[in-house]
Amino acid sequence: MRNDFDAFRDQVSRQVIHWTMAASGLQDLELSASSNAWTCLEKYLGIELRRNLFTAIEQLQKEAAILTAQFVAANTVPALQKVAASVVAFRDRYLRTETLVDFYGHAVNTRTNPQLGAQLRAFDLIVARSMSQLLEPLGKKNPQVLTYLERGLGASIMKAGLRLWDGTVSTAAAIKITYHNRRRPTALVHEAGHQVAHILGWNEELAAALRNGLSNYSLELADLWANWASEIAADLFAFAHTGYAAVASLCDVLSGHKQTVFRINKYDPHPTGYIRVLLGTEMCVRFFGDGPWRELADTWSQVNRLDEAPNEAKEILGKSVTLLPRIVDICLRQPMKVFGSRALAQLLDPCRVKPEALMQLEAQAGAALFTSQHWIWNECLRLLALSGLRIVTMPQRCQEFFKQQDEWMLRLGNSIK
Amino acid sequence: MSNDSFFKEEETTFIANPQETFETPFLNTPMYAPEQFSPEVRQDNGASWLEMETPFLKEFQTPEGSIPVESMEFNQFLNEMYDSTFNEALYEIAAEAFETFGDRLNAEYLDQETQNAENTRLLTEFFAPLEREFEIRLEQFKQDCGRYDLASISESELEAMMDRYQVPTGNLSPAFEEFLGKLWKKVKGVAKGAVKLAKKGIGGAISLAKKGVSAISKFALGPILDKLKKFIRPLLQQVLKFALNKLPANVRPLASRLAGKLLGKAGISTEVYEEEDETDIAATPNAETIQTEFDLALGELLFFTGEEEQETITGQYEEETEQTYENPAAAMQEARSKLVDGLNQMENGQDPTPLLEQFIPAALMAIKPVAKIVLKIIGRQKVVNFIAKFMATFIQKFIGQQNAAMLSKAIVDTGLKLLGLEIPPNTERNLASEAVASTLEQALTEIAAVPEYIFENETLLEVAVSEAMENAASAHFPPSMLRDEFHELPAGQGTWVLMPLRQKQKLYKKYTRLLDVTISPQLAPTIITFGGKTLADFLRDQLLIPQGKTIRAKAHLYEAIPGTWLSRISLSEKKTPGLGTAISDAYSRIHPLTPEAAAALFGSGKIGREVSDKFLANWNDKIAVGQRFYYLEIQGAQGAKKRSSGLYLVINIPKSEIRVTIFLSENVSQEVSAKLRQKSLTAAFKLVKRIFVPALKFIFSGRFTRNLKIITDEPQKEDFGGLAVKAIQKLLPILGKFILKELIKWISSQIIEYLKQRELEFINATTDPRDGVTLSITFNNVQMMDGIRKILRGELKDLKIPTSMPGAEVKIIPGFHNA
Repeated sequence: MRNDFDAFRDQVSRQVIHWTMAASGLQDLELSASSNAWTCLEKYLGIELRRNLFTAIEQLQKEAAILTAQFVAANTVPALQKVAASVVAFRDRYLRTETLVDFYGHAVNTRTNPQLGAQLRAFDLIVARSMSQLLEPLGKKNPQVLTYLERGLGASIMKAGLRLWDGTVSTAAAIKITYHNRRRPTALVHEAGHQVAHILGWNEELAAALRNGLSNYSLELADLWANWASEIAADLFAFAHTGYAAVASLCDVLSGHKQTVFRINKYDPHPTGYIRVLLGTEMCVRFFGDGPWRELADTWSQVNRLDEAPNEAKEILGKSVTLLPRIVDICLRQPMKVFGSRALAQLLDPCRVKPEALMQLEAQAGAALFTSQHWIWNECLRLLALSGLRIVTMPQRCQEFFKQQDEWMLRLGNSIK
Repeated sequence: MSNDSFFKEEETTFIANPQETFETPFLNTPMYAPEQFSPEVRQDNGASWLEMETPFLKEFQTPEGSIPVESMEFNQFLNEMYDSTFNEALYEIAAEAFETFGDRLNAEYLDQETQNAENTRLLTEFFAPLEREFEIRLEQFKQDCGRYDLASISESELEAMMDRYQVPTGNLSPAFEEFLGKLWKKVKGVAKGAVKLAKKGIGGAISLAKKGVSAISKFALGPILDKLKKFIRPLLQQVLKFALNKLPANVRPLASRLAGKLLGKAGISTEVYEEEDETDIAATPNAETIQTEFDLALGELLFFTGEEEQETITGQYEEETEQTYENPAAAMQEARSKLVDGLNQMENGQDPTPLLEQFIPAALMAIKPVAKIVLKIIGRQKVVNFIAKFMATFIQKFIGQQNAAMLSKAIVDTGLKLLGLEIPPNTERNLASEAVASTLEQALTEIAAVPEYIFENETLLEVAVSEAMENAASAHFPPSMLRDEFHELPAGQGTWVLMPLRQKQKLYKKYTRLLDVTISPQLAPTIITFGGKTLADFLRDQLLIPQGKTIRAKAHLYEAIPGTWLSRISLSEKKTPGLGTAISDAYSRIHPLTPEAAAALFGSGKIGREVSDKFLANWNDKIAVGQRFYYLEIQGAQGAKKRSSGLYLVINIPKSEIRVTIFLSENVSQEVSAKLRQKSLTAAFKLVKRIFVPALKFIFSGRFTRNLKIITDEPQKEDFGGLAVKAIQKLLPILGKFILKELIKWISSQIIEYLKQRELEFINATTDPRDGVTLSITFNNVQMMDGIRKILRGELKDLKIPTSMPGAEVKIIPGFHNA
């Protein structure tokens, strides 16, 4: 008959073996994403991601080794009880690492075939390019970017530099693009805006600028806009890179029930949908002059009549509408320390993506614009702006433009090894 | 010390105690100031260009004083056949074989003989589809030949007709397709040659002329094509040997007895010979040899159409390609391995001299081309003993378990882990032994190249050995063990280790530190990479980085050892972003680390290596043992490789024609196109001028001949085919003095006129999906040809060259086309 110690030891042993083996099983990254999906990553990114994951897994395995050693040394019931407690702690630790591996594995695994792999590589590059255009002149380093497909309405980002589930720090920004927006991917640039704002400390300075710039009109309004700074920064970034295409795409995502369009939640960093769209069209007006955005703003305002908004929103939104020109100036034309005492529009001039400038680009490059590696590689962001502009302003020909966009993006993605 | 020759047989010992006069670069070791020698003054061969030696054979003339017409035609044929991109295509298929089979071609668990057989089997299978495709094309062409009236069609019509037999794209790998395309170009050359000769009634085709030109296809081309079919397998055999480093690196093919008759070298034996004045050793065989041999055989087929002669030619070519050569890289590998194994076994304080006495002769055999003198002297065992004794003293402090462990740790500490290079457990000692072996190997290579008189004087030899050991040690020992003045970089960072670390068979060396480097837009155009191109060209054209950007990169440094291919460095560097494959996209990102490039990039020329220009011609051309390279790891520069802009010049003396082919890279052609759309002709021309003017100046500097072809009909002293231009190399600066300015003027005016008149044609060409455009300008009836001929003959007195602008034809072709 075995004694209690032996029985207990067997129980603990089984659990130790189970969880330490589970930890070693994480090492096979092809369990979380197929080898084909891994090869669809640009090489630098693949190496960096694997390195990070292996570091996390190695750390877990070190802890597994300690756990095993504790178990081997435990020759009393109290010592075994301690080991049993450590098993529980290790299990939690394992689950956190597993979440990490699973998250990136899932993201990588969305590259299900070479075409999609190429498109997502093109997205990675577009995002990286959008960031480097602002970060490089400011002497900041671009993080790696991994874009992936996911269901849902809106895009999202897990920023590089954040502490992850297991305590390690992410070195690559993981940006989710939704299936429905795969062919209108300006939201990627919005998410990239979050990343640069995080790196530069832009959100805080923009919040202060909005608060200062609007407090003369209303403290409540100034606070509200300051609270929205992080999302506004990302919108500004997307606008500066892709112009009206970003505004129209945002409008299409925000269109919805009146309650949501007018909802004000002071804890939500997202500006109220109603004013967010009008802020976008105002940016277009202030930088591009007249254009289709005026029609969009009018239609938006007619569909979402302010007098139908809840009372608590009506006044503050109405006042905000009158202040939009001032807000745009604060956001885009006011020098900021994070930009080396320059304004965002000085570093990323939105006029590069005004329709006339995009037409000029097309005239300059001719038919080669969408086929030549030179133009696709060097002008991918303006191509995204141009494709987006055409898709939203000439919906009757959107199939043709989608096809054209698919083709140049595929070329771009395929040129990345 | 006696002034007599140092190595007298009766002397038993000539160095009492090497340690007394011995200096090392290591810390804590007393140093003595070496005797100062006057630096060797390089003889200026160009003291007077009027006395310049001409490469042509004046004596190869008939009694009447003229050169036989067959000989002129044969030379012209060989010159026309030569295609520098054929060598590139050969390299590419060899690289692709390694990409496909990887380690299977270097499996360490197999013995050498089994491995050789396995490699041959793998590569034969690998090349089989290529052979099959070629034979199919050739057979189709042969069958169809009878239906064409070859006698009445022009050269361009014949060429267009033959283009129909090009290999359709998509069936084979890009490297195979490229190679087959080049091979088909050779077939075209033969067909054109046959038609031309028969029309003229020349050479072997004389008998045909009697039958009438209509008999060309039936009687001449058919049998030639049949014979040509037999050439493909021997040709691929050569490629196979080339891939396995089993062709000699420094050998030029000699004309057979038949060809010799036409080349004026009738009495020359067919033995291979080594190049003279060699100071650097090529790390790998030379693809050019394969082409030249092949061209010669094709030429013979064309000029000697007798059944018996043709059989002889085919037999001879097969025989030549069956010839086996030792693999110097493998020999060095074996010598090094034995040395490392021996060092690993040694105890503290044990004398390594006997080990070195075995290593030295074996290693010298592997570097034979430069070791001719020392090999001649090496028969005297005392020389080996002297060098061995000296080297043994030098490395004594690193012999034995504890000393090796210390050295090994110091090497690891230079940054191996940061590079992701882990030392397998229990092999640390190997690292130390490899460092010592590398030091000895490099020093020996250096000693082998010293002039003969050094071996005749004890002190001079001692100094030479000492200096060679210092140089080698400064590369292979960690900076922490070296005195500051021996550091290769001011901050003394890494050291060089044999790679791959875990593999017994070593393929190259790598510096253990990555070096941060910032490349400003001002710096990039001043750094010359392969083929005379600049780093700015590379960044713009190949990495698609917009001009004017400051680049921050991490530099990986590599060094060639016997057997190193850039493509195989790239293939082995699996953990280096951007490398990891043997395809040209990757290895063409590796650049030569000359002292100039090293000084510009890293602030110290000492870590660079000077090599002769022939090792700087191209990524897929020859590289030298000891040559160093750098690869820039640039985040965000993931663009696929694009071809750089460039220029190719053909001076066809018999045709009085100069053809200039300017390739504008995708980036440049789009920029030119954009300027034309903006109606800015000046800006458009400036962009093109930036390509062709420096390229022409480079050609006439005489440094690189890769982009120049001079077609002559005059036999030359030693060289033929593609090598002819190399013989002319020294004359190029003189030729440049006479014609460069004129050439620039002519080309400029043609391009301006073209862009002005046919702007739309240019723009349309740039919308083609192929990358870049090729502008081809052919100048006809060039009057300066007599002058050029005189320059090449060395008849420079009272030379006047007419400079009137000849007529020209400008063509644009989408994509890359060489002349």
